Amino acid sequence: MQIHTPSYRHCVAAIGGMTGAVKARHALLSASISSEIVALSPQETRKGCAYGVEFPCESYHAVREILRHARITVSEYLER
Amino acid sequence: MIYLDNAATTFIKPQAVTEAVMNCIRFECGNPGRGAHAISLAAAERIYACREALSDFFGVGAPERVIFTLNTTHALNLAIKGVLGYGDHALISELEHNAVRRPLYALAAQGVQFDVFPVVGLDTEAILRGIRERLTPKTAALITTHASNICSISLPIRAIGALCKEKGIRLIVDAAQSAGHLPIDLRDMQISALALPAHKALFGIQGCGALLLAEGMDPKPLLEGGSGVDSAPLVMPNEPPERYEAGTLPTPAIAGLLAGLNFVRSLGLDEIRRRTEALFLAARERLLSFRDLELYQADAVGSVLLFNHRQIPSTELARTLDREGIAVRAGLHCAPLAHRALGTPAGGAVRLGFSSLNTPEEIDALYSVLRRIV
Repeated sequence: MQIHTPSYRHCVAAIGGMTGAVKARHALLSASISSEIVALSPQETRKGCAYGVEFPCESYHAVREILRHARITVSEYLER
Repeated sequence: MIYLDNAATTFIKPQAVTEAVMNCIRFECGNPGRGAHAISLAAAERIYACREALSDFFGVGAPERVIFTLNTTHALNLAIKGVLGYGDHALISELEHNAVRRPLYALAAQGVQFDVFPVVGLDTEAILRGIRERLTPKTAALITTHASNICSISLPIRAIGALCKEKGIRLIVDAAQSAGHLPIDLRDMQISALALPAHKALFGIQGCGALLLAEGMDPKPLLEGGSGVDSAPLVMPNEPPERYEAGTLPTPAIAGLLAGLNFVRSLGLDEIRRRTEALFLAARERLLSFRDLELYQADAVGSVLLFNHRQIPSTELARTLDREGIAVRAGLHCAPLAHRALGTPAGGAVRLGFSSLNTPEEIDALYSVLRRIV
C-alpha cells in the first residue's frame, strides 16, 4: 500500500480481534506513539468486522516495525 | 459465620475485589469487543489488563493465550475435548475431580481411552514410574490436578511436565486448588494448558475462570458463536483468545479477578502459604486430640484438611457445625475417585478449606465447638 504522509492524515493498522488491537495500542504507547482503537467495517477491510489502531500516517514506518516486533499480525494498512 | 469452605469458593474477599466489581458495573462494563465507544473500550482495557496480569503471574508469556471461561470446569472441558479424539489415550491421576473424570468418561463413548495413575503415599519417582508404566503409543495427553481438592497432597508438576515433554504428550493441569497457593510457571513447568478459577484462592468472584495455553497448544473450540470480529464467516476466528471466547465475557468477574490477583501478588505466595499452613497445622493438632476423629493424608500440609467422626456421618456433622456457625463441606466433594484413593467411607468426609484471610481464632472456635458436639 502506498502511504502518502501529510501529517494530518491518519492511517489504520487493521488487526482483527479487540485483544490484538489493545495489545497494539499498548505496544505503540510504549514507543510514545499515540493511537486509538477503531472499529472497521466489512467495506473497509478484507477481514470483515475488525478492530484496528488509528495513528498519524507520519509514524507509519515506525508503527510497522513496532507491531512486527511485537508479533502482532496486521491484515492490512489503510489510510483515512 | 466462620467460613472454612474456601476449597469450594473463597467467601471473604479483599475489599479491593468488591470495589473493582462495583466500579466495573458502575463505570466500565460495556461489552468488550462489541463496539468502539468509550464504555466498550474501557471494558476491553480492563480485560486486557487481566490477561496481561495472568500471563505474567503464571509464566505464559502471551496475554492473548489467556482464555477466559466460566470456571475451571469449562476450561478443562475446552482443553480435554479440544485435543482428544477417537483412538487417543489419556492418563489421569487418582485424585481427579469430576471436572476431569466426567469429560473423559463422555469421550470414552467416542473412542477415547484413559487410565489412572496412583499418587497417594508415593514419592515423585514412584509417581513418574506409575505414569511410565501406563503410557501407550496412543497416549495424547496427561491430565492432572496440581493440588487435591480433598487433602493437601500436591503433585510434582515440574517433573511430570519434563516427562510429558520427553514423551511428546500434552500436559493439562487442573489448578483449581493451587492457583493463588502454589507457584506455577507454565513455560518453566512445561504445562500445555492450565485451568484455573477466579473465585477460589485468587479471590475473584464466581462466574469466571481461565485456560492458559502454551505456544503450540491449540485445542479446537468448545463453543461457537459471536466473537466480535470477522462476523461473516461461519467458523470461529483463527487467533486466540477470540477463537475460544464465543459470547459475552463476564467482564465484572474479570475485573474482580484482576483485583484479586493483585491482592495475591501484594501479599506474596510465601506469606499466603505461611498463613494457610499455620492454620492447617493448628487445626490438625486440635483434631488429632479427639479420639473419635479420623484424619486422611494429614501429613501433607497445605490448605485442605479432611476428616471423619467414627460414629457421626459426615453430612450430619457438617449440619451440626453449620448450626453452630461454622461452614464446612461434607460428602464426596465432586471427587469420588479421590475419596476412593484416600479410603474414606461411602459417605465421604468433612473438608476444611483454609484461606489466608482465615484467622487462628477461627480455628480455636472450631475446636471449642467440636469439643461440645463430639
